[in-house]
This record gives sequence, structure tokens and C-alpha cells, in this order.
Amino acid sequence: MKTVGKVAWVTGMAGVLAACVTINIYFPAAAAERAADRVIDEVWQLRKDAQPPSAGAEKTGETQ
Amino acid sequence: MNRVRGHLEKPSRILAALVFALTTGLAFAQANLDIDTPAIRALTDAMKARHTELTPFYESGAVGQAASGNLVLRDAAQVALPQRGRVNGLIAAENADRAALYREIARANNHPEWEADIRATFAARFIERAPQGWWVEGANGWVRK
Amino acid sequence: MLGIGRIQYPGLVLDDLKIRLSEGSATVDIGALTLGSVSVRGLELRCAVFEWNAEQIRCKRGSLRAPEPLSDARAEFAMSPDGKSGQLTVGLAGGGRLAAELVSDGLTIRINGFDLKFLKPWLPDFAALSPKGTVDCALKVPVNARPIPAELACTLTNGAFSSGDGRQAGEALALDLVASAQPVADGWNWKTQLDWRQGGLYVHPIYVPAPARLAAQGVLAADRIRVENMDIAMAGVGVVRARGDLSLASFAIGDMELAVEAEDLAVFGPRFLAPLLAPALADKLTFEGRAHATATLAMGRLTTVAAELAGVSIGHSGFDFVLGPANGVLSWRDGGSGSVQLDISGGRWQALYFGAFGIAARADTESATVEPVVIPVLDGRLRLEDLAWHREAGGWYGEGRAAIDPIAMPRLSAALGLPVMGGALSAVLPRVRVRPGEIAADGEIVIAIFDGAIAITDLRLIEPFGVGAYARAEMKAQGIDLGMLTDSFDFGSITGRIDARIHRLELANWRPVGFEARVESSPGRYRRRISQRAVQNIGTLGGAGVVNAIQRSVLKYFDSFGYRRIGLSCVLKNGVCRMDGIESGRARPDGGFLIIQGGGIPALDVVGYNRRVDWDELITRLGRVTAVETAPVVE
Repeated sequence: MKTVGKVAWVTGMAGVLAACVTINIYFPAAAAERAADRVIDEVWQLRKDAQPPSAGAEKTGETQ
Repeated sequence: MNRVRGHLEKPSRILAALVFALTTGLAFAQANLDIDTPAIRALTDAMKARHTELTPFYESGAVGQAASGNLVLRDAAQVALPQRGRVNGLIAAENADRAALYREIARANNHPEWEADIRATFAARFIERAPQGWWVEGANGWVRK
Repeated sequence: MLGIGRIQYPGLVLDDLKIRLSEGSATVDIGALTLGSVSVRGLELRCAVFEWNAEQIRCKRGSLRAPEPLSDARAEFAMSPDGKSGQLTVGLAGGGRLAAELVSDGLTIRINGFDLKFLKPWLPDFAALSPKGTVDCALKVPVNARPIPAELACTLTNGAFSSGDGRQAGEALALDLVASAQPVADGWNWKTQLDWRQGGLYVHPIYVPAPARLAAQGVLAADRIRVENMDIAMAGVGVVRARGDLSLASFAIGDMELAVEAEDLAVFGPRFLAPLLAPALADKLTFEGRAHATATLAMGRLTTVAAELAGVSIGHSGFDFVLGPANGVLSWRDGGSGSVQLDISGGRWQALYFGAFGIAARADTESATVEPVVIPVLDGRLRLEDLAWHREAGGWYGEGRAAIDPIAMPRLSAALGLPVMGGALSAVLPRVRVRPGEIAADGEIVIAIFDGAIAITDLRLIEPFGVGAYARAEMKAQGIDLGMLTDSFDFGSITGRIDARIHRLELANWRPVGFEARVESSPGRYRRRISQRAVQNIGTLGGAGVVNAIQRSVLKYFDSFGYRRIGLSCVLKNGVCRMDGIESGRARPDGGFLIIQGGGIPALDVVGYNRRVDWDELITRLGRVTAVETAPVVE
């Protein structure tokens, strides 16, 4: 029973989370900040060992 | 995004995802914004090329990072007189590219209405990331970092 | 003690004058000295030796206590008791010297080596501009003439000034000024000539280098200067005429009329127009021609502008675009309407020339309408109709209709540097929308070409004038005659017909960066042959060993082969073209995909093995095999 309860709880939370995720039409502030930082790294060349920001490295979570 | 749902049958992974999501302030919930379009690349390339020319003016305080997400000519007196027009042109060109960049990121992510939010985010990051010695516009006016 | 209430000369007033004598020395107090609009209070002159006799009044080894620039200066004077002749010398702060000489017929005042920075306490508003520089002046006032004229000649060397933010500044200035003035009821009538010889001026956002000449006349009243006529001439730039008034207290312009005669826009444009109108493009815009403009200001605010253009061309060096020469008028009124009426004799975008057309538009602060515009392009016409603009938050939005009356492809393709192609291009775009950073068109552009037709729809141009310019469109081609196509590109010969569809075509800087394209044989009965050279070229494109296979076999004895079907698709993304063949999604046992299915005698299958092809590499190869020095069109 314990396991079932846990699974139910997790599933419920996951449902809530999934709902948050899929209905996320609000502005993704954190993602925008990361995008800004990537652009700034590229344009200002602030990091001395800066390699051109590769899309691949950042896009591991690509969703399509 | 849908991936989270796709893993529903594996509670342990969801648990891990949940912990991860909660600890990172739900950052996980947000996919990266796509900034890898040819237009965005062309804009950042143009900005990068211009940056070398602008750097001395950032360092002297002639040009500052404004809270609007633009560059502003704060103290023209720091620029040799015949160059002042040129600096003004550089600022105008950079601001035009920045405006196009904000608009294009919003458009590339299929949310043109995000443009103002993207501008505000970039403004804050430009100010935050500006190296020591540059001038930025804070809540209480211009300050040197 | 001797008290003298007031001594008054035109333009010079001494108030509350007291002289105290004691045993060969004296102290002279001047309550206030007013020269023109400048007033100095609390002057005190101590004369170590003071002589007063029948011949002269004389002060030797005097020292002056006064505000800068006279402070702690040495002063000496001698004067006849009747006050008709005398001399005065005053040492000025910073090493300068003032010498005044009064003789029977007049007064001469010379100032030498005076540093402008010492003007600060007297002219607080002027001081905000931190003036610097050395001034030498001579002022002559003949006493007996009526009315009394004054003549002033000044030279400024190493002059500089700057507002706190550097938006108004001058450096290394050298100028000569000659002025004369005559007192009138309410001030002075003045006339001046200024010869600006060296240095530079910056008045945000415009930088102007020397030289220039200014001639002006007007009236100087207590608190303002009225300029009745001013001419400024600059080499190459032209003449500026102005009349208006300037407040002396704040140096603010009141009402003003301005006329500008721009003789040569090639000089005038980059210096004045580009920084004001399009600073971002300042180093790319080019100007030619002449213009005459007038403007009025009320209380320092621009109220009307009118300009007449004569033979004016404007170009953008980055786009290799030139418009003009144009003649016409532009006008604008503060808070009201503006209008444009231009006859443009033509233009050019790269090698594409267009003919004469007119533009007539009317605008107010919130909206603008443009009369129909018909631009001849080669043998066709581009028509823009019902163009209306309105302003919303974020910029101007426009909507209208556009159409292209057929332009012959042979001329168009030649103008665009493409291989000469037959056919014609036309367009009907019933709804074109323009918004900041975007132009979108409903309708279609049709190119009747190679005996078939290409239709372009859902056209969107994004940031068309910026570095990030890109375009999106859908394309469909039907019944394209491959024989005509391959002949145009010198690819070898393929007879037959194809249909093509390019879905989600994206061009960045006018080069394809993304699409989903599919080309296949059109349905129907027609002759289907492919030449050996075409097969070889297809092989080269795929980078495969097909060619060798042909060369090794008996097939090399044939010039051409029959085929049943051609089918090829390419999905371009991130610089890689993902290819597929006739039966999409299905691979042959050996992993290849069929591009040309052979048929007839002799038959030949063309099979591709490389599904991922680098797009730039493909274009390079295509350029090589078609031996045409342009980006090939791939349909």
C-alpha cells in the first residue's frame, strides 16, 4: 500500500508539474536569461577561453 | 515538455525530475529559447563586429548600458570631437540591431508578444554582465561598475 | 572724500563712485560698473601714488580689488581734469592686459591675452559651457560722432568650449570677428563678420569642421539679440540664411526663420542629414544633388519645414541601391500634416534598373496615405495601390495592394546575373502588410518559365533592411520543361517535365537556409531521356562513384538513356540537406535510395547513397557542374 500511495503522490505531483509545463505560455524568464547570457558571451567575448556557443551543447533537451 | 508526460510510467525518473525541478526553481520546466536562427546569428555577428569599436567607449564611460536594453551616449565629452558623430552612429546601429534581435528571438520562439519581456531580460543581463569599469543604468541612475 | 553719484557713457555706466584721499595715495570705490549687459559690483582701486593737479589726475602703482578676472590686478591710470583724455591699464587674471586710451576724438580699449575661462563669474550661463581660449580685442568708440558708433575687432585662438555632457562642444577654435555697433533707442544696432578659420564644432549629433564665414546684422537689447539677417557660408556645403532672436540670459533661441541652400548634397548629406535622419546608416548612405530648405522655429521649437529637391539621389552602399535623381517638394508642419511630392527619374538595385515614377503622399502624426505608385521595371511594372499607413505603439504599420505586370524573364534573369531564362514574372498580391521589421504578402508571384509555372505564395520578409534580413515563402512549380531548364544551366540534357514543391522556404540574406523540397516527374505522357553528361553531373553532386561505374561499363557508348521517373527530396536544416528519392522513406537493400528509375533502352537507375549532404558543399558542386558563376536556382 505504501508503494501505491507513493506512486499516486508522485503521479499526482507529476500531473501538476506536467500541467505547469504544458500550459506554460508565460514568459520563460530563466530561459530568456540563459539566451541573453549566450548572446552576451558571443557578442562581448567576455570569457577568455570562450568557444563559440554551440547550439548542440545547449539543446540537449530539444523538444519537437 | 511533452517528454515529462512520456515518462509517466517510470515513477523513479519522475521523482528525480521532480527533485531536480524543485531544486532548480522549476528551471527544468522551461526549455531553452531558440537563438540559433540565421537571422539571430547575422545580428549577433554584426554586433560582435561592432563590439571592438565600441569597447573603448564603454570603458571611458562615453557609452553606457541603459535600463531600456539600449546603448546610450552618456558622456560625449569622453570622445574626441571629430569622433562624436561616429559614436552616435555606432550607438544607433547597435540599438537597431538589438531591437531586431529582441524581436527576432520572440518571433523565432513563436511568441512575438514576448518581445518586451525579452528586451527587459536582456537589459538586466547586459547591466549585470557588464565588466568592471563600464557604466550601467541602475534604479538610481548611472553607476560605474 | 569725494562722492560722485553716477557717470554714464553710452553702454558704460559707473554708479556710486567714491574717491578717498590720504597723503598722496587714494582709494577709489566703484559701487557698480555696467558695460553693456555685464555688470561688476564692488570694485576698489587703491593707488599707492595719487596725484591730482591742474594737468592731470594720476594713479600709480594701483591695485584693484574686484571679482575675477580683475581680481588683485595691477592698475594705473592718468587722466586730464576735464575728463577728455586719459589712459588706463589694468592687468587681467591669467596674464592678460586691458589698456584704455581716451583722447580728444575717442576712446580705444585694447584687451590682449585675455583667457575666456575668467568670464565665468560674470556670465554664469555661458560658464556652463566652460569656455577657454585667448582673446585679443580692440574696441574703438569715437566720442564726437553722433550717434556714437563703436567698432570692435577680436581674435580668438585656441578656443574651446563644452557642455557638461559634451553634446555641445568646440575645440581648437580660431576665429576673427569684426563688429560695429551704433546706439539706438532700445539698445545697439550691430553688424558683424566672423571668419572661422580653424577647429571643429559638435552640436549633437552633428560635427562641423572649419572653415566657415558668417555675416550678420541685428539689434542688441538689454536681454536679447535680434538677428535681422545672417548668412553662413561653408565651402562645398552652401549657405544658411537666418533671422530670429536669441536670449542673452540663457542663449536659447526664440523665434527663428532659417533657409538652407545645400549646393552639394554629397558634402551636406553625410554631414547634416545622415546623422539627423538615419544615424545607424550614416556610413552607408550616399547623397547627390542640390536642395533648398526652409524652416521656422517658434520659442525654440521647430514648427515648419519645407524642402525643394533638385536632382537628388540617395543610395545605400551596402545594398548597392540608388534612387534618383529626384525632383520635388517635401513639407512638414508641427502637429499637423506633412506631404511629399516627388518625381523620381529612376533607380537601381544592383544590376536591376527601374524607370521613372512619381510618389505623392500625405501624412499627419497618426497616419499617412500614398497615392498609387507605378514603377517601371524593365518591360514590366510594379504597382503599389491603396497604400495606407497608421501609427501604433512600436512604429508605423502599413497595408496596401501590390502587383507586378509581366516582366520578361530573359531581361530579368540577365539583370539579376542569372543564366538567361525564357518566360515572364508577374504577381498579384491583394494584401501586403508592413509592420516594424516585417513585410507580409497574401497572393502569389507567378513565374511562367520553362514552359511551366512557378508560384510563390505566403511571402514574408523579415527585417528586410537589416543585417538579419530573411524571407519565408512557399513555392510550387508545375510542368517545368527539364530540357529548357538544363539547357539554361548547362547541366547536360534531361528531357521531360517535373513538378516541385518547396515547403517552408527560408532565405537568410537571400540565401536558402531551410526548406522541405520535393521534385518529381510530372504526370502525363512525354519523352523522358537523360544525357550521359547529366547523369555524370548528378553523380558528381552526390559525390558517388556512379560515374566510374558508367565509364567502366558498356553504357559509356550511349549518349543518353531512357528513364521512367525522377524523384528527389531535400530537407534543408542547419546547413545539411537530408535527401531522399522516389520512394520516400524506403531504402533499397544496399541502403541507397532511387533518384532516377530507368526505363526504355538503354535503361539506367541513378541511386543515391549519401542521405546527408552538406548544403554549402552541394551548392559549390552545383556551381562547378553548371559552370555558371552564380548561385544556381535549385528547383
